[in-house]
Amino acid sequence: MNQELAAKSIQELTPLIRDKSISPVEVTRAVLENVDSYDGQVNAYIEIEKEKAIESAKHAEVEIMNGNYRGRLHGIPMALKDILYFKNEKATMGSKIHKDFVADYDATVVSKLKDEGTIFTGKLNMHEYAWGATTTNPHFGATRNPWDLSKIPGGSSGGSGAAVASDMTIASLGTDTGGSIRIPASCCGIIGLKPTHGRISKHGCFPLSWSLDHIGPMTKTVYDAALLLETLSGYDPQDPTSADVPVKNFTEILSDDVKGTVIGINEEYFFNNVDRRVEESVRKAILELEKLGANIEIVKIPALALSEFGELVTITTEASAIHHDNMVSQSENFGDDVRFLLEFGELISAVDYLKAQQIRRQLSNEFASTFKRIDVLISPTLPFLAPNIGEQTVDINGEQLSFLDQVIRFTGPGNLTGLPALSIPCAIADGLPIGLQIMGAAFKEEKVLNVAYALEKLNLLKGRKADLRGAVSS
Amino acid sequence: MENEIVKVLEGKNIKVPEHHIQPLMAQWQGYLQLKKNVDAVKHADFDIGLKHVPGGDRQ
Repeated sequence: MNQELAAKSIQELTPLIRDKSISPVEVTRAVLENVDSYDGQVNAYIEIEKEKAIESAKHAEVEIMNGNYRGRLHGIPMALKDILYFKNEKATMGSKIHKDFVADYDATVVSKLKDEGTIFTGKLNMHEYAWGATTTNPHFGATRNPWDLSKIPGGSSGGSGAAVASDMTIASLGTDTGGSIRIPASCCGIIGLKPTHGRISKHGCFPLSWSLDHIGPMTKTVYDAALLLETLSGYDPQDPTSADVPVKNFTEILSDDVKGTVIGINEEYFFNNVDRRVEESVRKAILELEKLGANIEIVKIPALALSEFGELVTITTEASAIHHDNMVSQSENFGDDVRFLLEFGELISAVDYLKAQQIRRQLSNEFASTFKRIDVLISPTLPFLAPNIGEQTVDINGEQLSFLDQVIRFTGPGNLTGLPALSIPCAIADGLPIGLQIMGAAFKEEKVLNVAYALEKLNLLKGRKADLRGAVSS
Repeated sequence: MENEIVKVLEGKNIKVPEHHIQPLMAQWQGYLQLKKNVDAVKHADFDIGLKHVPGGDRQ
């Protein structure tokens, strides 16, 4: 019974908690039982806050019993990536350098979740400072993929991806600078939504790369992603990149009707050099959408050929600027891979950084004119299946290629342009989930969510999910 | 090449571990490959798109 409870989505739990059929304490205990059972293997948590969570759940129970139901997140247990600030609590950023850092204010997203009555069960593991995509963390241990414990969960929000996939949290938040929400969502078979840049405030989130960073939901269902987006969106004067745009009722306008929706496909960039199992699965899913009445249009976006340069230069230089002082004074305290990337960022010239920003503007303009003709653009999220922990290369159709070069190839353009992008599982190959990416026009997340919702209704995974029961008992 | 990379980083007071030098050189070569495509493109119509807010952005 407890495992069934922890496996539920926010959408399923909300009415049960609201009508007092179940208590937030029961749900929180169910989630914490899974943490007890599985986290020894998965290592998704950096810090488990068991007693505090039960106390908060009891408080929520009293509020609800007294008729003070706050809303759809009231009494829902969640754990967040350990890069978001909670007042008077530690935020490690997955690092040794910040292992004892205590924030003196709540991140805006944390404050919004607290207002809704969310229960926090702990802080989740991540790639150190979010600067990497494996979550093989040298300070807190590697997070393992719940579908296959020998594989990476992706990153940098790998703890969030693994915890959602193994029901060790009902939902979570991640951050995404080159794909760090969508990559673990793809590897772990869950929904990951990077909203439009500026849609969700980043105040109180430790930066990786100011102009590319985003916060977004990582959830079991599309509805839950829409709900968290709706809750967390809104202008925040404390975040200089926050956008003053109206917040939509994403859950109310969620629809699986894709009749007449125009789906763009870009063959040259997004279907070039892709594992054939991934390619076949994504193309099959597109065909299914066509059967539902969507129209397919082939699009050209020439500046995509330059986007890898744009993303690489922007992320490495901005990250190196942020960490420069610590690189001078205590570089030995960074993990070896992060230290390497921070050294690399120091080598790139200001001229190249400015060229990267030119590319970025060109890419944004080309995407903008493309989205006048299409509603969404569909591609694979990753060109490969999750590799083994510790591997530096990925296998794409028998060729061994650098993980670092391949991992953000399809997700990076979403960060460079700031456009919304979501990863949804569309198939399983070799026991591992395959993610399909849906990109949309700026501030048109509803179109992305609707196409994802239609795919979800098709049940392409046939109800399969990560199952750790065998791994734990063996 | 090896000397240049080490010189740039040491000039910024950043110590480079010995085992990073070869991978940094390889990464730099890959970077130069990507840059070749960029150098071949003219971006006359695209400035960097930064906005300056006179008076600051915190009213």
